[in-house]
Amino acid sequence: MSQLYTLNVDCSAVAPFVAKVERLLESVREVFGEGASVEIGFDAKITDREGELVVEPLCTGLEVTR
Amino acid sequence: MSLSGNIASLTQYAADLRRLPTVAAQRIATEAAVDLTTRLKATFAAGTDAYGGAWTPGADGKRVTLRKSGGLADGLFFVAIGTRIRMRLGVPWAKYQIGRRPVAPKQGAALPTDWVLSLKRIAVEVCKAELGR
Repeated sequence: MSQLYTLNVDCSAVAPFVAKVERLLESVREVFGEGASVEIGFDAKITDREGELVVEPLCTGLEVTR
Repeated sequence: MSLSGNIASLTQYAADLRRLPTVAAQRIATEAAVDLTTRLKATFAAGTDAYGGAWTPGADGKRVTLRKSGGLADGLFFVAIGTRIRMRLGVPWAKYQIGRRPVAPKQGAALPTDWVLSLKRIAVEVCKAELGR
């Protein structure tokens, strides 16, 4: 069985996003304490580069409720 | 899209987030393969390339359907292998026919707008599902 087209999904940009979320959660915990609830808004940016589909999540907002 | 939860549990789950890049890429590839297969079939049925351009007509000038036995249409699909999405051609003559009348973008060419929108939707849904565990 032959093939003609290949697309690789590259989520390496997710790691910096995760690190940001971790730091964000840590900061929120320090400021608001363990009882706080958070809502994080996010979106994703897709870039295609010569057979690579680069997925980059983006934070779009943060809401903290005590 | 958003995630929400108690800060204590979110701090706990933050440790699991480091596995996200690989897991998310594999899930996106798996779900995208299904979605892109549907698009591939629709493109083939319409007799166009992935950007909506009509296939080259036959020698008689008439529209070509590439549906003699049905094997060509039935055998076209995308499959996810790890983080890669590959288009498979089910019959030996597909490479020649699809080479002349393409249904997918050229390797390395810009993706069609509807593909990008669909892949973005899938990426956001997968990230949300994985982050929201």
